[in-house]
Amino acid sequence: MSVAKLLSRIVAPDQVFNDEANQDQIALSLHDYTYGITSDPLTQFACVFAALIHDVDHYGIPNSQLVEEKAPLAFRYKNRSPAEQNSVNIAWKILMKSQFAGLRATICPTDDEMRRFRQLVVNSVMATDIADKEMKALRNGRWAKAFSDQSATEESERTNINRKATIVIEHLLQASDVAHTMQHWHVYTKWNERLFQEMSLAYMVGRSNKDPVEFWYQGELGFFDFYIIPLAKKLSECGVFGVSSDEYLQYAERNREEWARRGEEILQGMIERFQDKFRNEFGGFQPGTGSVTYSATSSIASTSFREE
Amino acid sequence: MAETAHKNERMVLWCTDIMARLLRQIVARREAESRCDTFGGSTIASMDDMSLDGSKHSVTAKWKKAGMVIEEVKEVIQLPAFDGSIKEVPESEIILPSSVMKQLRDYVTEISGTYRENPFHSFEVSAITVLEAIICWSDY
Repeated sequence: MSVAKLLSRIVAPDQVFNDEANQDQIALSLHDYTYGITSDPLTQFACVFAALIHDVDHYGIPNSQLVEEKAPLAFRYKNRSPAEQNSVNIAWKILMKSQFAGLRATICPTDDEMRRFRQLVVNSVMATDIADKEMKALRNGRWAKAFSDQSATEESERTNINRKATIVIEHLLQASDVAHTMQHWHVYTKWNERLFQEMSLAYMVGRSNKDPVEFWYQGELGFFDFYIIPLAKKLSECGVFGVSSDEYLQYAERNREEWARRGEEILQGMIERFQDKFRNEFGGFQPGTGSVTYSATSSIASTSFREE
Repeated sequence: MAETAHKNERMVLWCTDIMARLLRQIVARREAESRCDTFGGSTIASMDDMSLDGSKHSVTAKWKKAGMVIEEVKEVIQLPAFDGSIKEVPESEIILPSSVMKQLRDYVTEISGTYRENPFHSFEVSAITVLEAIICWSDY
C-alpha cells in the first residue's frame, strides 16, 4: 500500500455520493469528510513527494545505532531522528538548486504555498520515525486530541478540521512505510526478508549488537501486535478511508496469524538464503566482529556523511 | 549492471509520471482559482518565466534551511478552506511546460541517486511505494 493508494481510498460516505443532484454539496461533503485532504492537490503532491524522499541516504542501520556509535549524523541532529532529518535536508537542498526553479514555481509559486508544502513534507517524513519515543507520545496525544469531543468544542471548527487532517496525513505516511505488512502474504514475506538481510548485514559488519536471527520471529509478532495492527485499526476507525480500510486491517491480522504459524520455518529459509547470497562477499568473516574486509555493494559499512 | 540501470530508469519514469499527474492537478486548481497572474504573497517564480538554468530565479535564504527539521513539526497545518465558487479545470486540459517535465524527471533521477544500495531502505522500496499507486490513482 502506498501513500497514493491510501489517498485513492479516501472516500466520502455512500449517502453523499448517492446525492447526484447537488454537485457542490457533494464536493463540500467530501472536503469535510476527508478534512480537506482530497480537496487540495498540493497536499496530495506533498504526500507522494514525502514518500519518494523519506529514506534518502538511509545508511541501512537504525537511528539507535547511529546514536550509539556517536556518528556525525547523530551528533549533527542531536540524537533525534537523524536519518529522517538527513533525508529531508538532502532532498530539500536538491529541490532548491537553481536548475529546479521551474519545478518549484509549479509546485509552490508563493511563499505561503512553499511554507505549506514544506510543513507537509516535514511532518510526513518525520512521522516515519516510529522509534523516537518522545515524538511517538506526542503524535498519539495529537491523535487523541484531534478526535476527542473536547477538541471539537474548545477550538474553532477550522482548526479542529486542520488538526485532524495533519495527524491523519502523518498516519498515512506511517502506514505507507510499513505497507508490506498490510498487503498480501507474498508481498509481506518478500520485503520482510529484505529487511532481515539489511539488519543481518549490519550485524555482520559490526554495526549492530544483536543478531536478527535471535529475535526476528518474536520481533515480528510484537511488531504486528503493538504497532501494525493498532495503526491499521486507527486508520479504520478514523473513517477517512471508507469501507476499504478494513482491507488493510484484515491483511495485517492474517499476516500476523500466518507468521505465528509458519514464521519459524520461514525464518530458517531466510537465514539459509542470506548465507548463500552473502557468503562470497563475507568469506572468512566472523559475525559481529566488524573486522571484515568489506567489498559488498551495500552501504552499511560506510560511515561517510553525504551531506557534508 | 545494465539491467539494474534500466530498472532504475523505469522506476524514475513511473515516479515522474505520477508526480506529473499531481502537478497538473495543482496547476489546474491554480487556474481555477484564477491565481496565475495574481498570486497572493510574494512570488518566487512565475509559470511564464521558467528557464532551465534557473538563473533568473533565486530562492530566498529562508528556504535554504538545513537545520533541525524535527523542530519544524507542526501540530496543526493549515489547509485551504473549501471554496464552493471554484469551477474546477479538468486536469486533462493542463499541459506542463516541457522544461518543467524535464526538471521533474531530473529531480526524481537525482533523488534516486541519493539512495544507498540497501536491501530494504532503497530507492526501489520508495519507488514501488509510488509505483503501486498508479493503478489506484486511475480509479480515483
